[in-house]
Amino acid sequence: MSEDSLFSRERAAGYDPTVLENAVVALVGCGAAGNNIAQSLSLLGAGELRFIDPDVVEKSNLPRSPLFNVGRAEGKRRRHKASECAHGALAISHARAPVVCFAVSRIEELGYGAFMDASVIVAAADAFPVRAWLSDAARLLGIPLVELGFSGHRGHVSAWAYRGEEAACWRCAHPRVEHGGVGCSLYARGVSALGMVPATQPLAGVFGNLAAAHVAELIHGRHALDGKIVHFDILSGQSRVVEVTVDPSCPGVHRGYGEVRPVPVGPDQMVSELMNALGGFCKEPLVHLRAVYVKSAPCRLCGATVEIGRPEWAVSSAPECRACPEVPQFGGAGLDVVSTIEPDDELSELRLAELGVGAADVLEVADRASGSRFAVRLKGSIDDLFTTLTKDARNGARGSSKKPVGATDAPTKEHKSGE
Amino acid sequence: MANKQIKVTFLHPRDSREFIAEVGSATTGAAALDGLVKAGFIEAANGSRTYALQMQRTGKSIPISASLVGNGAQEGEVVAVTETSAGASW
Repeated sequence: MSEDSLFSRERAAGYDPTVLENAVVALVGCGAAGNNIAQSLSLLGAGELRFIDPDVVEKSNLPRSPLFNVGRAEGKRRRHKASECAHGALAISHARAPVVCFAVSRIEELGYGAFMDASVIVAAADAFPVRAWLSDAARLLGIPLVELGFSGHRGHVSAWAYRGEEAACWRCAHPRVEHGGVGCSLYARGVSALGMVPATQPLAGVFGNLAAAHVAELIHGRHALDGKIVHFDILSGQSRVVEVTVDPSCPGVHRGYGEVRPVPVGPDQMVSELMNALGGFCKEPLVHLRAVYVKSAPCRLCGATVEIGRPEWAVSSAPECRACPEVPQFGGAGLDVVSTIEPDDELSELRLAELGVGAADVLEVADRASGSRFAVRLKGSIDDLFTTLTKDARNGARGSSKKPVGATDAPTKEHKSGE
Repeated sequence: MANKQIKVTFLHPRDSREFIAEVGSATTGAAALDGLVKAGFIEAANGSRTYALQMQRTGKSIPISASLVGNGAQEGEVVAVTETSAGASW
């Protein structure tokens, strides 16, 4: 079957298979929404899909997750949503040489490297804080964002091309949402407690496909829904389109990095090595960390200082000191966090990875001498972050995979199901 | 500026209910939403749902940090409350 006949209907509908073949879509969240979006994009022939989700598949996910293989999911081995989505998407992809990557991680852990060369970012995670994080990331990196959510028989889809600093952002419409990751399992328990109505496949299918349509539009450089949120009730048929206006008090980012300069330093190298490399760009670099680094925090029971030494997204709860509860030590120093690093900083001998910086991550640097700001991209590639599945276009072989160094299918301690 | 009151009709995000309220010139969108929660017209926002406001007449959102009147709301204005769900998997 020639490509012309394969995509004849799509061409007639305004899709360019070559444009889709060259597209890279990063899907954050591989539940019902991510499944349905990826199913459409795979059938449309999107060239590269990246799946990001730390959660595992549960039996109740199957009726609204068309890419999950029932046999695999019902086996004894725990399956991760990201890898199951990837395998499912690869199996049905009509791209000539599909590339499907997955990472069993939280997006905050992967960092901005996950979006390297991405055409569109899709916010399909079950938590508002993740969407706020993705909105800021998309804006800074200049990558369009598609976001969706649903409950019961209603849902919404929004699209953000982020053209220019004057444009409204997702956070203009949701200014009360702050950053901070929440796992899907935790969210699921939370919504159960709230008595919310769960999604079903008809609902997820409607909104997943609506989102996929706008991903495809953005890939083609068309902005039909840019800066708008469409709300729809699948039972009553009532809809509402909201044109989002800029909130002057928006907590979100309303600027882009612009040019991102490469630096020959990777996340396993010391902060001091990054500072040396930055010397080629400016005299007095001040590196802004993407996430606050928590040096220490008060014990939740007695207030004594507890050493943490992790980025904030890796701190899931307030710590307890070793002496508690037997020996209360009142009067600790409180929360000690770092958001910027100077060349002679006490953290200079830490590895960048310890500060939460990932491969190919992007960091913002201020030059205190000139007052200018610029962004740098660390060394690294997508292969450092994702496990990649490819399908050999010539013989139809499937499932050849390339894993990032040190990667496993199992979640890390911080990402176990039920966190 | 005198605290002029205007009458605003709020539309429920999920059904045909309406809530008519007197709104002061300094009343922000956030304060209006809080008032609608207190009045029992909508449930409180939480980790799975959040609200926004839309001027029915223009189709544009009203930034909730700013006053309704400052955003152009007039006597008899109809404002839709929209609900955004975080659900994507559950």
